[in-house]
Amino acid sequence: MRPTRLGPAAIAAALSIVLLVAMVSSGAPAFGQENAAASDLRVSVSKSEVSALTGDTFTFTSEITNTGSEVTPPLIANLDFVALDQSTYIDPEDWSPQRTLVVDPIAAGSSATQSWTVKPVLNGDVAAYVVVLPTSPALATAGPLVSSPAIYLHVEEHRALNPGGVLPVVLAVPGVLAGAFVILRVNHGRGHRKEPPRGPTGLTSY
Amino acid sequence: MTSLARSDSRLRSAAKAPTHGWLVVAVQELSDIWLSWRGPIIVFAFSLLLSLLTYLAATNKELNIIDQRDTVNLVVQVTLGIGVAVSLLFGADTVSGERERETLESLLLTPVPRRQIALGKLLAVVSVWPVLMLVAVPYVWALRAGAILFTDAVVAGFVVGSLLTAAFASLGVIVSILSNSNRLSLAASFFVFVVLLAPTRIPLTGWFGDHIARINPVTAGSRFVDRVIVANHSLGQEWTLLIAPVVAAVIALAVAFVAAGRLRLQGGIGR
Amino acid sequence: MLAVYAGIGKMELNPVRDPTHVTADAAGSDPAGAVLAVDGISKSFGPLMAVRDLSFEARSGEIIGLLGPNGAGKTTAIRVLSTILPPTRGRFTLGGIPHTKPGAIRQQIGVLPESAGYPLHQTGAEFLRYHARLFGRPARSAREIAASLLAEVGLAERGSLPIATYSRGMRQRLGVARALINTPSVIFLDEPTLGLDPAGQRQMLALIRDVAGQRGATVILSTHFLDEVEEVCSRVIILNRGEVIAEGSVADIKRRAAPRTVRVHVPPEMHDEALSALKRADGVANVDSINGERGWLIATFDSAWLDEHGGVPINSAIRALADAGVLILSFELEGGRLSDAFLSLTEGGQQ
Repeated sequence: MRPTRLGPAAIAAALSIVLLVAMVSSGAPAFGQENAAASDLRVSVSKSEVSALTGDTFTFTSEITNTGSEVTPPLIANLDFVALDQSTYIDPEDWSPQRTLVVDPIAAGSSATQSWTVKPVLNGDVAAYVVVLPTSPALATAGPLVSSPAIYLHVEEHRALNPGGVLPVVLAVPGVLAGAFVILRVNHGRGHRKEPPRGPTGLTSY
Repeated sequence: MTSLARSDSRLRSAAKAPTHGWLVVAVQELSDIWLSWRGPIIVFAFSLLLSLLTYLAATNKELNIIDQRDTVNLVVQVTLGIGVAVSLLFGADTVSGERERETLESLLLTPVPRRQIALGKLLAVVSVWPVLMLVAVPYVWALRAGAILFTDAVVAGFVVGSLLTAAFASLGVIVSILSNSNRLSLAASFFVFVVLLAPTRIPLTGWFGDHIARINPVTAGSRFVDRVIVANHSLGQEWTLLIAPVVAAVIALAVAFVAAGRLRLQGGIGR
Repeated sequence: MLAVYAGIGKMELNPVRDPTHVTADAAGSDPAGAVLAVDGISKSFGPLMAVRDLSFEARSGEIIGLLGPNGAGKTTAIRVLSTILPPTRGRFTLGGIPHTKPGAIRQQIGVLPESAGYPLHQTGAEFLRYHARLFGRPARSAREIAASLLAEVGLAERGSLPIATYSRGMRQRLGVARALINTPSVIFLDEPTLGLDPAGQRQMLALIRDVAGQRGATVILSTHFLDEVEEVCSRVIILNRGEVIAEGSVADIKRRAAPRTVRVHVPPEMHDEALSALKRADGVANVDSINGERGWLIATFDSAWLDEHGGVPINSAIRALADAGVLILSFELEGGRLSDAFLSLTEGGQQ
């Protein structure tokens, strides 16, 4: 009687089963499997379009909803800005004091709301949006980042004639100095011209 | 021609060295600076510069681009830089300039001791600094973030500026005494100032950078003002940063004292 | 009597008779009466000896001319004596004050430097007030002194105007006023008439005479202009290359270059008689026609004979021609001017 040899297909199937067990036990995402937690998040914002002047402040809220069946890990909500004309550099720190907010785990079917303050400092068309990220790679599941819809900001320049109330000082100091020096020069010159040419009245007495 | 009495010994003895020759020289030099165009032009131009800076800084502050403390620090640092530079350049002109204008010989023909002549000139030169600081005060007030910041900023700026002005004005006078050419005197003085000012424009970090910052009187003084105003440290907290400016002022004044004793019609010492 | 010292390269305290050195008539010196006593002053700048062994004395009220070509050391000498420069060797006293006390000496002197500059933004009155204060005058007194001096030098009307508006002559006068601010006993004037027009020069010389005469101050006048020296100076010191090559009264210096030739113009038909007569005249060393023209003759006298007979050849020549019955159409002495003596002495020094 001849010994039986394993075929290639059988070997491949065995190896796949071993690999699957290993990946599942290590917690690594399986190839092609979608991030169940990420796909269960939805982010919405309270505004879609804002017209403002530079220096004006406005607020909006974002809401993160967990539509899944599991509680989410701790999340980070990040506010970003993009200049739509692509030539202007936006420094987010100048536009909002809140770059990122930490969001506590959201229970299944619940939502969490964040409040954002924005002060445009440059004129132009800018898009603002909120991106949600897990707080650590260990808690992350594969999948795309979840983002809110964009808020379109139309910012026009506001010319403040007296920013911070400094205008009086800015004008007054040079003005006062100029006036003072003119008066000083005039008086000095007048003093010279008033000096009478004196005769030798005291020459023999000194 | 007017008939004159012949001088007798009583009249001849009336001419003597003034008790405070340095004061006579200082008063005249102050008059030359402030009643002519030199001093007023500089102060007025400085006020225009501060007005521009303050207006821009206030605009940026309103837009939150720059912090309020940074705006105050900016005004004080600019005042320091300009005040010290002007004192240095005035000092560099004070003797070599008189040589070139050929007015030094008349001064040396008076019975006023050489050191008193130099002292009077130095006092007039350093008068520019307090005036500039005084001009800056309303701008600091306008940008202040509270009374404490205003007081600390003014005190820190005045202390550092006074020390640096004493040092650099003395340096200018020393170079002026040594130099036959006014152009050389001004160039040499300004070069030294730029060399010492340059490190304030680059980050001085690490052990080596920190020591350079502390040894250089300009960077040390600038850092002192910065930490008091921006970092909100107390004046006493950063006193070690004042060591270099104090040492620089003392050394420069001492060398100027020695050099002044050898003030000559021609440049150099002991010719 | 003026004590005169001459030395070339060495300090000597006794009068030395040098063939090129002319001394004043010796009537006895009185060092005790000297306001300024200079003894062997030398000043060198590295290898260059700018002034060598300068020695002289000056009395109250004298105007002493300091002559010399460019680079002779006049300005250096004045700067040493006015304490601007320290001497390399030698000593001097001024009003009894040794040169080692420059501050005290400066109280006694007034100086108009050669290259005097003025603060152009100051008025003349302000400038003089400042210097009066530097000489210890109180403010009110300084104001009065300034006004008086401005009037004295003819600048009363311009005292309140900036010096920048002053002409060269006005600035020189202002400089003289500044030199008088402390009623000095000795005044050093270095080229005071340089750059002035003839009228300005006249005014300046008159002022100098007034200063010496009415104030009793001793004036040391450094100048290029020999006619100025002849006009106002009682004594002359001639420097060349830092050394004193002649010193004495103006008359003594002029005598040094006593006329040695006479130019005579006689009628052409009397040419030969005139020639013979001059050849026979006492002291004549040589007689020639001038450019071969008949009637024009030049006679040169013997130096030794001139020295022995007082240096004036006119009598001998005229007598000889008169005795010969020659008609004299013109008679001219050559030499006998201070400029002649100056050129003769300085050119001799340069050889």
